[in-house]
Amino acid sequence: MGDPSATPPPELPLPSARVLLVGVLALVAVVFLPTLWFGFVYDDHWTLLANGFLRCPEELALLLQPEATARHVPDASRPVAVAFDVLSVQLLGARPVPHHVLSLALHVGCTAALAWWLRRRGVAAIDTAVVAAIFGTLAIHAEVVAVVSYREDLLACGLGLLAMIAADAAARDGTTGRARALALGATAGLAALACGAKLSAVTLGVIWPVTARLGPGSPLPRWRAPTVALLLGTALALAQQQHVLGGLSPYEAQAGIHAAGFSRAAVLAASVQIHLGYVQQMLLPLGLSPEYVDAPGSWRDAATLMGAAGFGLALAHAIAVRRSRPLWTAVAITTVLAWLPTANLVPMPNMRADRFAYGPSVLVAVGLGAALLSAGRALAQRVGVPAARLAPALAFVVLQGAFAQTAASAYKNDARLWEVALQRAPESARAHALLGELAIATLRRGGEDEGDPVVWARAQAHCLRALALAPGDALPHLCAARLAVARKQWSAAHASFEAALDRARAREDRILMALASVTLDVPELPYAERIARVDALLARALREFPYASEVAAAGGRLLHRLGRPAQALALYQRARKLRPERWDVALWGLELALDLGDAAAALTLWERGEDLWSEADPKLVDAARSRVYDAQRLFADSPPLEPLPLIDLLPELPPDHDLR
Amino acid sequence: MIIRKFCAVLVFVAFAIAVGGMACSNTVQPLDNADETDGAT
Repeated sequence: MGDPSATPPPELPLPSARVLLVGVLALVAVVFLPTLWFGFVYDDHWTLLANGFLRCPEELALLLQPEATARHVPDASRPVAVAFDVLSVQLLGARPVPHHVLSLALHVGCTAALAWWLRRRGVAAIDTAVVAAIFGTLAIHAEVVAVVSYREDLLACGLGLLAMIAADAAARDGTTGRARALALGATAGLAALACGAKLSAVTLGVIWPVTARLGPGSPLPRWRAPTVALLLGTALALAQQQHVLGGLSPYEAQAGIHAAGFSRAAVLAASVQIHLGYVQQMLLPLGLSPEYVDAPGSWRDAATLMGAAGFGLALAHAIAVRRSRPLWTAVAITTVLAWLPTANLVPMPNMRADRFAYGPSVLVAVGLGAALLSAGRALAQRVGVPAARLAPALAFVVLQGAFAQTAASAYKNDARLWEVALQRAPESARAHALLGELAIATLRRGGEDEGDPVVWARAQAHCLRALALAPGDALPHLCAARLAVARKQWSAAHASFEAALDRARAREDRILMALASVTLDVPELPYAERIARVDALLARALREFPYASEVAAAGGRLLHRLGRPAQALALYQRARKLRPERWDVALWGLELALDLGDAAAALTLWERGEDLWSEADPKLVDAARSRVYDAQRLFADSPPLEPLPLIDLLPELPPDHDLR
Repeated sequence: MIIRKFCAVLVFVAFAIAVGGMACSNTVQPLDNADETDGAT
């Protein structure tokens, strides 16, 4: 593949390069098509649904300031990805299907960008199509494509590939003067954007020059200036990161993450085995999982020693044969470079994740494509059938595509995701804790009756196991607290929420609000003390998490309970802005109107919320309907206890709206 | 003619992937309970 003059043998008739590429892209889209009907899972709740910052496009400039970190904007360290999410949520709303369509389009776009890069390098059309098909169907990509919030990896990869295409343009002999300056500017800008989407693109400035000298394609003569442009773009992104975060690692503040608790030697030993696993999964996609348990490794383990020796020998061989096999040298060196940012050299919340393989797999796909085509050529020669040249590559694509569909099915919804996670990683405290919470949520929806004893037992078992596995983590205590709330054991719930808050390393907003809600019901505390504590917790939550929709919603409900209607309404309005699809906030606003005796406002809100009630719990909607009816009958003419602009909570319906 | 053959190959590969996907899929019991964790990872 390194030789641009390589052409397919005349015996194998092929369609045009464009038809080949369109066909491959269609195949990639078909492989991941089932993901379009998946729900929101995993971090989607935190980064998309509950992230009120995405509903405040007027405050986008905040991403360039340290305030973004201070106000806990989710993923503030990835401003480009957050800006993209703002745009996508403004355009697509909060329904999962359009977001999955966008993720799939980005994956197909990355595949197209890879094909474009290779074609511009002079790689033959059939070779390009094979590499694109391999990259597009790799099973290890299932997580990135199926989980909406991981499109940061798609963005970083796509922008990184575009930066390399721009760098190629600037490095060609024919590009001079203004055109070259523009190409260099685009190179720097795209590199900065790629790093702004995710810092895993930070090694772009050292990856590209290796490919410019060694392939794929023929060497590019003027590689120095584009390299400087890539490094400048990267430096710009790092400077922005330093300015906003006060450090280069977004995880520096999370001192309690597991990788920070292990010794560096143990983490790096584990990292060798982790990367051995990545390579195995790219060749034979067994063992893909939504969850891996972080554990320290040892340099005395045979797997660590043999893995390190294998990597070392492969790299040494690649460097030794750089003149005779430059493409192998390029693939080996650039794959190592692409994996450096997630190689646990700095502590990360997850030591291993399938999504970390997305960017590096570009270069692996180039190497795999070359190897499979080489094997195919030998096979075609041996059997005398020209079409056999593509047989190994096609078999590999079928294998990867089949495993990709299987792996992606784990991400259909949260319940399935964490069930699969637990099957793959039975020692995962996180999986146990979240399955416990899911079981408790099922009990909550069951209403006031006792609930299924089997579900109670499952919930308790998961919470206890999670506590036994990771007593120092927040999630097991959160699980125990939710279980205690479901059992109406307020004191136990209070203690567990406090334990969870003490151990939380990030995302404390929902713990703070749950603790505040429970604090009001703790019998041991004097009532005045409870209110003082609630006020303190609410003030902290509002100060530290001004964009968390849950803080505004639950805070409004608490103030409503405490008899402060004006403050409650203000928070309900804030919650409506931060997450307008929440029907419960609209229903609470309606209840506030009824509690204040404002029958007219209640009726108006009831009518304006027609679309929201269809999503709501029918029992609650029925109760609200009865109360609105009673209010009209009993106190329609009485003045409200406190005149508030309650009807502003829901927008006015268009004049032609058909009310039932 | 070439394009037709190419499309046939693509359809065959897509079909093989779908069949393979079903064959190697571990059966995960469909879960009726809902999937809201409110982002706890």
